Amino acid sequence: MKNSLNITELLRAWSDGDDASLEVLLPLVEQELRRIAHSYMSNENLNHTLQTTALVNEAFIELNKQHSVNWQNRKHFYALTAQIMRRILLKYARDRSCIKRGGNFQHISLEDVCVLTQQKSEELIALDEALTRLSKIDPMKSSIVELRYFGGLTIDEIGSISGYASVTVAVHWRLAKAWLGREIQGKNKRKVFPENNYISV
Amino acid sequence: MREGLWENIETLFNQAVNLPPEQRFAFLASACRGDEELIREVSSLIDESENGENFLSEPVFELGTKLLAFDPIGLLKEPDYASYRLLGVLGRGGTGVVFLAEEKNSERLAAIKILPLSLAEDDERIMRFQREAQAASSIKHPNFAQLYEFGKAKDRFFIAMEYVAGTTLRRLLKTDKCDVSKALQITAQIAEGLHAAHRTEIIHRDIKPENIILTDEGIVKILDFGLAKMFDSADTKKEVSFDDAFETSSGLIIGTVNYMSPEQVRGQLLDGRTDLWSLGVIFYEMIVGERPFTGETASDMQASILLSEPDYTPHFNDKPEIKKIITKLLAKKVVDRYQNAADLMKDLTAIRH
Repeated sequence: MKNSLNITELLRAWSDGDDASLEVLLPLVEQELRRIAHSYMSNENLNHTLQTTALVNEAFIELNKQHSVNWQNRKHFYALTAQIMRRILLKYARDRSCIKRGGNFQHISLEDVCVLTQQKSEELIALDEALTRLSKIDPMKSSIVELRYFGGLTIDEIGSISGYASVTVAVHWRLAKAWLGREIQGKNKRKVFPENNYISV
Repeated sequence: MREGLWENIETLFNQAVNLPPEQRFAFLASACRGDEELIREVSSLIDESENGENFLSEPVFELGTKLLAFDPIGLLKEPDYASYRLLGVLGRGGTGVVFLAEEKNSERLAAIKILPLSLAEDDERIMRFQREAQAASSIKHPNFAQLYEFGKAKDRFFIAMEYVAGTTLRRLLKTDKCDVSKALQITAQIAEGLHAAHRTEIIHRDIKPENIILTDEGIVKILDFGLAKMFDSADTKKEVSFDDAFETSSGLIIGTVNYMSPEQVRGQLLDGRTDLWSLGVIFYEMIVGERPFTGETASDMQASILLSEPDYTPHFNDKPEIKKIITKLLAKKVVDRYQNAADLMKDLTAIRH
């Protein structure tokens, strides 16, 4: 129980906007998520899909047991999970795309695999950049996207943890999705025709 | 972004998107009062929104969870491994775990198969592995995945091979029905790969759709040359690949016998012709959509391989030339079979022209 104060404080600090505390929190929560995810995945039923809420709740309960975390609501915890997912996916995506090679691989060569395709990697990297820009223009939208896309929460779930009506969340989500889609596509277009001026029609 | 623009965009977007499409332009033209940037912003966002689904529609949480979960032998925590850097797990099977890796000096991608710890205790098998790997690594051919090395690091033996991006023939067979020309094309490319290997007296022994990769460019690559069947004991009678072996609830390991040749089932000495048989089974499966030899248990299947003739009607009624080739590939006696891949390639070329 010796860490209890620590974590509670860290979480509070983080939700107050202290990013440094996140660096300490992340590995702790990540380790717990990893453990739970692993036990789910190695379960007999390989087709079992792990729901966000199940994973997060279990991690929450476990951490609570170990550290007696007094977290006022689970909102922060969901947000933290979504951020961890974002980081992990980005790590893999970057690993993959930093390798310069010809051709693009849409598929992975081995069966029953869980890895990122090249396309997904590129999307994730572009999304991460666009999402960072969005967070500066409209932080609420970027956190909805994080919870929805990386955290796997439904619009209703986001509504209930954030205290907004689902319709409100849906309205924000619609614009965020359109904006990000446009940003990312525009970027790809520029990539394809870098020398736009020289293309004569 | 200039002051206040985003708020304007948001308000107008939310209003315009709820209007009937034909009224939107007029609405924006009047609401934006000639502010071209604003019109451009809002209408491009509406276009994107109206396009419906983009990639954000499908959350990646599940993928993230899988990535979180996936470090089955704990090597990714310190991803430096031999002369490679492990990037992630590609798959896991009875033979160990396969990682995607990058060669540290060259940035060349590789698939690294980490063999089970139990193997390290078996000197004889390690020797065989080394011999086979050395032989296999000397062959370079576009139709099979190049073997880079067999080595040991962090107390585990590993095989490093060319990383092939694509989809396995198994997956293709699950999702698509193979049309005849594609089946011919795939068979011909496998035959070419086999030809190159057999010339140097390397046999595969485990040709099956799981070991065949189709790249996006339409190239067929054979995986695990010379090594596929090395995982079991020296006793060839029990030679069963663990590659797609699965553990039943009782803990029993079952491997596939579907693609085994009669001489393999009998535990006899093998040569390249065993691979041609397996290719025959695959060719048949691509055309018919089912396997030529079936059985409820492994023993039934083995009996079928030894004794029964595949059903050629009605799928081959209009394809007598293909039937002739498959019949020759699936000849029970090796002497009645194609004697080498080159002869098979000749017959395939004749059909394709």
